[in-house]
Formats: sequence, C-alpha cells, structure tokens
Amino acid sequence: MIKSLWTAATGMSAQSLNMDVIAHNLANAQTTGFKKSRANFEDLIYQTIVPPGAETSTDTKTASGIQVGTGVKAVSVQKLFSQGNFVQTENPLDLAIEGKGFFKVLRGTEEVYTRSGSFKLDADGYLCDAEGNRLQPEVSIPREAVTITIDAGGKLTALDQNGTALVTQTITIYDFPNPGGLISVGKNYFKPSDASGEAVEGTPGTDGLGTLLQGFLENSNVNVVEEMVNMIAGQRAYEANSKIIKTVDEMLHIANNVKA
Amino acid sequence: MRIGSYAAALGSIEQGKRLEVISNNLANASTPGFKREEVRFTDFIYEETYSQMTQGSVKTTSNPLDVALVGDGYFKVQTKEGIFYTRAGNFTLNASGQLSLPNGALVLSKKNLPIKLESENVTIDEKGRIMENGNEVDQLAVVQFDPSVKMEKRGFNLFKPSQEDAKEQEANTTIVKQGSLEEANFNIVEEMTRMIDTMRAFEAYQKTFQTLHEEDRQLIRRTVTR
Repeated sequence: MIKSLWTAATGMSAQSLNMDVIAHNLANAQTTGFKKSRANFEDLIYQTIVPPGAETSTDTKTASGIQVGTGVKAVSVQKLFSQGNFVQTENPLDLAIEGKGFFKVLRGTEEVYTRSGSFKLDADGYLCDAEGNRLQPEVSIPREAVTITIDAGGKLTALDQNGTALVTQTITIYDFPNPGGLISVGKNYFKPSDASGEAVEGTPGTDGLGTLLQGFLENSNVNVVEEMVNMIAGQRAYEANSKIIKTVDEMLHIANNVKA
Repeated sequence: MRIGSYAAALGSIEQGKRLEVISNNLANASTPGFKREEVRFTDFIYEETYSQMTQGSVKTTSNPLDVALVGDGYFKVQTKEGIFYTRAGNFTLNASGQLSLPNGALVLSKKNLPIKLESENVTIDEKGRIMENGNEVDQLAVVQFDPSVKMEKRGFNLFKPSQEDAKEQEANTTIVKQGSLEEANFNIVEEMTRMIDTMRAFEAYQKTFQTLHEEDRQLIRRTVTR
C-alpha cells in the first residue's frame, strides 16, 4: 500500500511534465517556424510477486500470477515536424519551406538549423535571420539590386533596375535522418544530436527535400484546440493521481486507528 | 485471537495490494497502448493480477509515424534483451533512420528485420504496408497469440508471452491506423470508483477487526466479573 504513494507520485510528476510541454506549445502558438513537442510515457518495471504459471498446489497452476506495476516514466519529449500553416507576408526575403528541411545559420562559431525563414540583409549585404546570424552558405546581395526572386528550387536571382542579373546563387537546405531527435536551443534554433544523425545538404525540391516559397512564412504547427484537450486530460489524470495519495493516507489512518 | 481477526487482516492486505494496482493504472493514464491491470480474487486467500486486453480508444494525432492497432495483436520490437511485443505505436526514427520506439527498441518488419526509412513522410495502410513515394518498402509485423496465452508485462510498454513456446501468428483482421495512437484502455472515473470501493472495503475489514476485538474484550470482562 505504501508503494501506491510512490506510484501515484510518478503519475503526478509525469502529468506535470506533460503540462510543461503543453504550456510551452501554447506559448509558441504564434512563433514562426515553431514545432510542437509531445511527452512520451511508458510504464515502469513490474514487480512479479507470483510468476504466471507458478504451482499453487500439486495439480493447479496460476493462470496469471501477481504482477504489480510501479508507475510511469517519461521516456522522451518528441518534436513533431508536421507542416505549419503558411502566412503570406509579401516580403521578398521571407521564405517558407514546404516539406522537409532546415535553413542553416551560423550563430557565433556554431552551426544551427531553423525552420524560421524571416530573413533580411545585414549591414554588409548578407542574408541573415531575425537574430542577425548569417544564412549558410552565405548569400551576398549587391547594393544595386532592385528585385530579388527566389524560386521553388532555391535559386536566388538579384536584378538591377535594368533587369540584368547581378547574382545568381542557390540556397541550400539541410535535412536529418531523424528530425525528432534534434536539440532545441531556443530562438527557433535546433542543433543536431546523436539521435538526429548528421545534417545532409541538398537543393530544395530534390531528394525528397521541401521546396521554397518566397514571400511566405511558416507559422507554428501548434493546434490550440488539440493542446487544450490534452491539457484537460492531463489535469484530470493529475487530479486522479493526487486522489490516490489522499486515499492511501486515509487507509493508513484507518489502520492506525484499529486499536482505539 | 479468533480466526476472524486473521481473516480481516488478510482482507485488508489484499485491498492494499489492489490499491497498488489501481494506482499503477492511474499513473499510466497518458501511456500509449497501456493495458489496465485487474486483481482477481479466486477464493479468499488467493489472488492474481492480469492485464485486461480490451481495445483502448484511438486518438488522432496526424503524426505520420503514430500508428494504432484496432483489434487484437501487437507490434513486434527488438531490444537488447530480445524480442518483445507492444501496443504502443508512437514510433520515431533513430539516427540511422530505423523505425523505433521512443525508448530505442527497433520495430520489426514481417521479415523480422528492422525497418529503415528515408524520411517520416510515409504512408502506412491498414495492413501495415509502408509506402514511400508510392512504392511499398516494407511491412510492419502485426502478430497475435492464441487467446489462451497469457501476456506478461515487462514495463517500458513491452509485453512478452508467459509461456516460452507460445507461437505467434499473423493478425490478419487487425487494422493498422496511421496518424493515430491507442490510449490507455481505462477511463479515469471508473478507476476512481474502484479506488473508493477499495478504500471502503479496507475500512470494512478494519471495522470487522475492531468489532471482533471489542467482543473479545467484553467476553473477558464478563468472565472476570462473574
């Protein structure tokens, strides 16, 4: 019975983690390029008190034995890379990836990846993200450029006022064997991990990579209604686990009062 | 002390154990593919636990690597400790692109081999056939056991048949549903009711114990004063 206290405690801490994940998703319901997460749970090891098939007498055997579980644990918080909605911005340097892939930017000396494509130009004319970190490989736009077009395959063309091409360059994107294993480092950035595998460079629209969409941004893939439903379910489960603790407490109280 | 006192004590111990089982169920309210445990009292001094294998409700997640089983059967997974079976279909890809459970166990195909995928963007049909860009690349193993085979829980969402020689067979009638997860197969309210029932039964045993104790006391008192 005392074990129930600890079992219920694992349930409460699991639901509390679940709520943390939901809160973070909801907080980022409007963040460009944000990918929602989900807590994955699994049951803890079982204590086998009587193994199934143990002999109960000379000619009978237990059909199922006694197995008592010890609770739940969070096994991972998985990022779900489903496509977010597109928002039209008409800003020529806003890019959305339709399908798989990430932009690579250089943050200090570290390469990080992002789905957020709200680019602009820095003081030296290089394409950079909202944080001022340059897109990799670097793309430089000359000052004389008037129009910039980027096609679905990532081909960037900067034209001057006479319509002559000043620069043509391809924006490459990157993909991972398991994007769910990427590490979120905040500010919409992801870092590869042992679970995600190495980044693979590619041209948009080839090898299963997504295509680029100029003048659009990818919104967060959080579905507010879905998160609300998960929140209600999580709250109820939390409550139920807390009731177990209360019940054990009452039962122990009863047991202590047997001798009046 | 009379035999009744021991019976009451045993009764409360059993109810305590039942509460442990209920608390484990409730702790796993958000565990995909979890099957609730139930305690069965076959006669007064003998109890056993078993997993109730009824279908859990299926929740739509729209995640391409979430699959739910509708009907009898299990997915087959390979861990370091050997082959296990699971109803939890919250699959993911590992660093080498193999389909696996969040805990790293590799999901096996019909040919008993790990499944390697190019990306998450796959279609999985009702038979568990995995299609990448319209081409069938592999098929998930979905197996079942004879109803007489008892499944033992190993934790980590894994099951194993309790008989070593249990033969698995293809679950032909079971439907694989992509973009969905099977939830734990109990509802919280029902489980709470069982919890209250357990507590009241426990209380009743304690009252029995107290009553017997009180009877003994009065008996002793009367014998002495006579």
